[in-house]
Amino acid sequence: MSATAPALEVSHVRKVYRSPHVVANDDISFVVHPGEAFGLLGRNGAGKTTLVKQIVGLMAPTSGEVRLFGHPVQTARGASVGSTVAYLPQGLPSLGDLRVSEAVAWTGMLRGVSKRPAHSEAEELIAQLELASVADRQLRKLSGGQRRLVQIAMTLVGSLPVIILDEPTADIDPSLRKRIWQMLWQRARNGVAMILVTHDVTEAEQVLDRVAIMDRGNIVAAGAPGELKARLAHRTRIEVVTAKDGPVDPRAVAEDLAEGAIVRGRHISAWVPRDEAIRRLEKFMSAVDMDALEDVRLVTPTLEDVFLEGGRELPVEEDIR
Amino acid sequence: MSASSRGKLTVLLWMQMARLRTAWRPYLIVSSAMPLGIALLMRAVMQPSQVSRYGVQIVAGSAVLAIAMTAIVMLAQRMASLKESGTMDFYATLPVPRAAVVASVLLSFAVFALPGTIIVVTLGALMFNLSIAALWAVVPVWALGSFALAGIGLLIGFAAPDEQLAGMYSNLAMMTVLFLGILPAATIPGWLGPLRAIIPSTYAINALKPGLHGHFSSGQVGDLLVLAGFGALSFWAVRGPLWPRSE
Repeated sequence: MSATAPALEVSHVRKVYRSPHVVANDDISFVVHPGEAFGLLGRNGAGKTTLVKQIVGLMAPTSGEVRLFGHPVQTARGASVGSTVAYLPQGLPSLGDLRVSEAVAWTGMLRGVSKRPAHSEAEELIAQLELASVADRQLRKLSGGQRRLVQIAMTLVGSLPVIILDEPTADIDPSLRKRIWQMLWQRARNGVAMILVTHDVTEAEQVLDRVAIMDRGNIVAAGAPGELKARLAHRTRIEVVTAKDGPVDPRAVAEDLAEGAIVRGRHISAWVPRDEAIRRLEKFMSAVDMDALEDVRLVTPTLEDVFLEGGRELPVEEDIR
Repeated sequence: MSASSRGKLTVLLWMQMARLRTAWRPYLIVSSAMPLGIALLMRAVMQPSQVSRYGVQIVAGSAVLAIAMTAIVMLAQRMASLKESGTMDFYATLPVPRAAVVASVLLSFAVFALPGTIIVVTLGALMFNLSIAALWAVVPVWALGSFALAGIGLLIGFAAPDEQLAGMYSNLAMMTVLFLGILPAATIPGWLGPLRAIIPSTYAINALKPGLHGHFSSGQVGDLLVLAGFGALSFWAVRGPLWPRSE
């Protein structure tokens, strides 16, 4: 393991499925350094999971190269990749016969941790993820959210230097989600290279140092969340919700608000130039009865907006290193 | 094998054996009920002279069928399920050799087959008035027969697109074992002879027969070596060229 090499280096990776012919990844390049939390964002089918499978050695790229601490993944034996990367896939492995404590501790032992430390680390993770009350229960008898928490514990046990999580907070209730993001953030601060694949942009934004937005197999935007949001900073979004059964037609509101405003039921959303936002809002408010509205707000661009824009107006960094 | 590799194999084996906590009853019943039922049926329709003539063949065939039920049908379905659910990918991302993963699955299913095999041999011997003095002879046949037949189960499990199809293919394979194993050679069409020579169950049955006569024969060693060869070949194929991989 080279001390100066990035934890993960993806160089010009292209993945083409043969049947049917689909270019899942096209010339993808990025690096992730130790101690960095990196997010891969994108819609379903953008090619995120395919890319991750190549990083963990489950698939070989059609061309290009993936390196972990300077060592090519595709030439490494599974054992060496598994000693470096812990991977949380989207699906649930069929390990339902194991008890929670066994699943976590035994995964640690398979990563090379001795029996006693593996069990004590498992116990600690189980407590942190509020699973202590079901520690002796078989996985098959847990709820979907609880099983996901066990999988997270199985991914974190053994403290590997690179952790890849594909939709870690799916099926988990909001209060625990915050705790999980906090745990992941803490791991990154302790030197772990963290790669998060997620749709949960709003929550992920709090822990990610850099993100890459993927669309149809390409990275269409990349950078720190603040930088990406800054590229939309010339715009502000006005959001209006009309009162239920009120006298105002949402479509008329949309026309008054801005050209290209989007109407979804009673919700109207319109992007306007930032320096015009206040004036337009004041003009709109003066012309409408306030009782006809349920909510009005001005929203500065979020990472979710960047995500939803799919990289439009967002040039990819020349060098995202 | 290093201490670390042995330790990991042990952990993998625990993970596979956990299946017994949930499913030991169905494994035991399925692996012993059908072979016992077939032996009982054959016993019921046979003339007394045929009992002494074909008894050993039928009991040995039924015992190997008990091994085949576990090592082919149940193992193929389990392997297809592990593959379909992404569990094989889970193991592939851990620092464990694929040989250890295969060995742990194979060993666990061999263990699942043992009680059913002993039950079938013991009750079958009682039904056909055979000796159980050399019951110990079941152990090497069970061990190497499981190893050899599990190769077929693993291959089907890896090749089948899903668990249901794995069940269908493995039942076909098991029926072949049943047909070519339990039925006496004289009753099978001659053109099927070569097929008998290339399926491991033939050698498992041959290795078991002398024990049911209450003695040991040097021919058994040859049959056991052939079983070991079948097992080694399929183990090599499964952990190497036939290991399931993504495109």
